[in-house]
Amino acid sequence: MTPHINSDTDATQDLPGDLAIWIFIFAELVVFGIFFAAYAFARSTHVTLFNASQLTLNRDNGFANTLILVTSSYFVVRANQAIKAGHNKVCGHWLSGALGLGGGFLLLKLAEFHQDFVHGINLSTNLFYMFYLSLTFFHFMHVIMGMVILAVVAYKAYTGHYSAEHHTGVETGGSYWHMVDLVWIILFALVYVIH
Amino acid sequence: MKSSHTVLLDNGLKHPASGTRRATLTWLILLGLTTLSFRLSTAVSGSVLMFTVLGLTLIKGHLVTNEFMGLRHVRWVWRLVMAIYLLSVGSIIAFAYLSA
Repeated sequence: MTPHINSDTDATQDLPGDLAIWIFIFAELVVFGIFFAAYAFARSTHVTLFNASQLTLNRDNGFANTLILVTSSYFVVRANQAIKAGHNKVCGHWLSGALGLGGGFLLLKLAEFHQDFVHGINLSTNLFYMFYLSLTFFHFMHVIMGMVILAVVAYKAYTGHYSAEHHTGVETGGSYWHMVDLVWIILFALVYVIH
Repeated sequence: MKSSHTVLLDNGLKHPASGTRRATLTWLILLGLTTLSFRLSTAVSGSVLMFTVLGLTLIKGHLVTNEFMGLRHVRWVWRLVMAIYLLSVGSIIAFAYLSA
């Protein structure tokens, strides 16, 4: 009987964190999904323009930013594991690391935006840049929001707000951050890689 | 007394160390797949690149949702919802690129 119960608990838990954040996450994923579809179909009628404009992007920055966000997501996983073991400060340290990487992502993206504006590129330059700037700026704002959430969770971890038994806040903030990472993984492939 | 080992069992992880190893392996695979996608973009083009990179991206998405978000521990319906989302986005992108 016990093995049966154990196998059930492996796959019947509720979503980690607050249900409200998951409603928000699924809504955000749908919005980004529509954005991705719009980009792909716009490209299908302007292939030459999209391919030529795509070559002007700083692909190294896009690659570095993907590695940064994936690593920050891993840090958040480690923060979750730390709090489940009852280690508030260790949890705070991992979250601080994730925040630092989030800051690195923002700096690289700001450098990219700065280069674009220096070269006179803006939303009305062409259809590709309209999508590229809108999509990446929309995601940029989500990174900022995710960092604010992670900062609050890190502060609460450092002040001993969580425990091994009660850490919904860490899971909630972490789930949002993973969504930000997931969206960037698709965005990187779509905008920077596939041509 | 409730040990951390018991708590981790409650959350679906068999042992703290195995959870850490699994997360670290997932992270390394994600870094590897990202590097592969990036390198491929200079070596291949067209539909071969599109299908390969989309495939790698779906695998990365699956790893982030199942391993990092922890969906492999939750009810199957949530994993199905996320899988449908990833497959839908990938299919729409592929369809749009092929119709160009």
